[in-house]
Amino acid sequence: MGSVSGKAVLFDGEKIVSSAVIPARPVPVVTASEVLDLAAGQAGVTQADIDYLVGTGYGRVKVPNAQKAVSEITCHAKGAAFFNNDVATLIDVGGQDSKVISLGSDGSGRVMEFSMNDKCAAGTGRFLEVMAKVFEIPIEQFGEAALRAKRCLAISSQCTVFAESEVVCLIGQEHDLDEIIAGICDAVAARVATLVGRVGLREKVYMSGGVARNTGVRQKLERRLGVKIWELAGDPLITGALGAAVMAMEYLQGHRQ
Amino acid sequence: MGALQTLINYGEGNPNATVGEWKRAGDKVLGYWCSYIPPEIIYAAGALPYRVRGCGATGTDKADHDMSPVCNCSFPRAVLELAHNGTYDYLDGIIGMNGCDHSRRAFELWVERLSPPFHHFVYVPRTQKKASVQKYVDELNKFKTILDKFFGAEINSEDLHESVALYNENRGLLKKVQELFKRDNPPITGTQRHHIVNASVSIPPQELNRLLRELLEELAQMPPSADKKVRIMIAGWVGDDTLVHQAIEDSGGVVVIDNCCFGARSFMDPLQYDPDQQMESIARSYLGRMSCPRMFASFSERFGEIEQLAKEYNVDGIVHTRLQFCDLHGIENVFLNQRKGQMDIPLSSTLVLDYIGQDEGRVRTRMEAFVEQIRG
Repeated sequence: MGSVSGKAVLFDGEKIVSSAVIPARPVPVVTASEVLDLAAGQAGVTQADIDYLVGTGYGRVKVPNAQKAVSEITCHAKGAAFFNNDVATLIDVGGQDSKVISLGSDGSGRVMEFSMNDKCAAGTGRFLEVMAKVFEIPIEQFGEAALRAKRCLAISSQCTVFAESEVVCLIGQEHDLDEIIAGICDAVAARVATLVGRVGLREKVYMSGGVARNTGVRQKLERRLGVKIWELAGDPLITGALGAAVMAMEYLQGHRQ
Repeated sequence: MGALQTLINYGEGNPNATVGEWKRAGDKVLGYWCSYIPPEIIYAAGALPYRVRGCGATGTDKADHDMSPVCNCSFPRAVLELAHNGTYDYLDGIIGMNGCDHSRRAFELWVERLSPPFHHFVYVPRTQKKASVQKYVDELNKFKTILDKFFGAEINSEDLHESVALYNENRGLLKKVQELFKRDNPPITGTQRHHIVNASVSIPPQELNRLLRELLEELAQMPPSADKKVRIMIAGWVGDDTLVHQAIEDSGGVVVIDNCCFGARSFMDPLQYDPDQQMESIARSYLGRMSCPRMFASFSERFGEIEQLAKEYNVDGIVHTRLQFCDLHGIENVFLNQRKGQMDIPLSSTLVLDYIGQDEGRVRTRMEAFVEQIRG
């Protein structure tokens, strides 16, 4: 249950049976119900056939019929470790939160340490969304635009609201749009790199969450951290939901209480 | 109503019900800003010392006219807002000190904008050296003289003697309540204890002693809590708010100890009082007790305290909190993160807070994740 989208994963203990992603509705209960219906429908079952349900994300306690609510930090680590068992550092940039998680080296997805953004939208997907509105281009095209840019303009404001006026100013000065977008991606990367610094960088580094799909942010972050950022073996958007599903199976089988 | 609930009600109220009774009897109430201003002296003068708090503020609109929210701590802004909106109109005066600069400015703005009937600023030195103790003694004597003048009667040595005895009894009893948290299953929650501590700095000390004695009897008969919980220490911030405690305790943790200003600092160390050297011994005790990062070169001492308390209370995890823009606890966060590898402490997590509109969801997510991390 993210701030921007709701995700559901059905898991049978070995593989992902089905998954679904929908934009978040204004009422979390509705988002949960709709996305679960969608995932269940794809698997040819109904919600009633789900043996154990774990909710996660900011709306985790609003998931109807969920037996447990687990924080997204724990679930992202679990989900990422299911995709790739060599994740040492996971960077999750979501709609309203960004977090850096250091995972245990046994591949079980255990959280060793984590750091989350302060009360601020800078360095989150929300920042990119606000900027996308200014440019009136789909956020999906941000990555390519940033990669096309010959140089990266500096966005010095760390505050999303002030950064927006800075960007408007750069547009007014008729700077190359790709270069401004590169600057925006780098501004997100800069904030996330600070969080990485708090936890400590261990390789291999992976990204999850919606912003993992943004090649611009990924590239800028690789430059700032000086390491390669690997792609997860599955859709980074469903990492948290997958982790919740993996934990649901652990609860169901009595491996976790 | 039992003593526990009475104390919780007093802790939740800002002001609490004792203030009205005190005023109706014709006595004065003086607000003070910081844990380095001895309430003993205020009480000896015949006034109720009331530690000013921010609880109850729902915004900081008026305070923000003078203190920009872009760079000023939300706690002093919340206190100042309450002064602006009339919550503190019952105070007969306000006493400030150089705790942190944000609080000092908020105190100055309070005086400037609202002209309270009485105000005084106590300068408190930042070291425990001999010259500092002497300077603090001079300041406290000056404070006493000013109170004498304001009340038209001199605080004599017996008044002060009795006041110190009452407050030291407060501390002893609060410490007994605190020590119940050394048990595997403490009889009350850390949230409840935090309310009690908040009450302890804002109700008459005699009433507090009576209630604490009753409370200890009540707790002796109370069954221990059922489950084994994750034992958390809160280190850092100044808050009288209970959101962090609640978030931890709703996630299966229990806050067993803290080293905070509204917290253990006020009661862990009784004053090493010497009736023959009243002010000297008060000054030395205040400068030497569980410290605030306002004191120079205090980090090693504070980290030592954290290590010791974590061991004493068998702590599983430390939540190191600070308010946004707090320079004192901000730098302490940095040093703690740097040194924690060499320290004998369990896991720790840093939490940055905003006093007003703490966006509960954000705090709860972080605290839940931390408890889950400890559980593994």
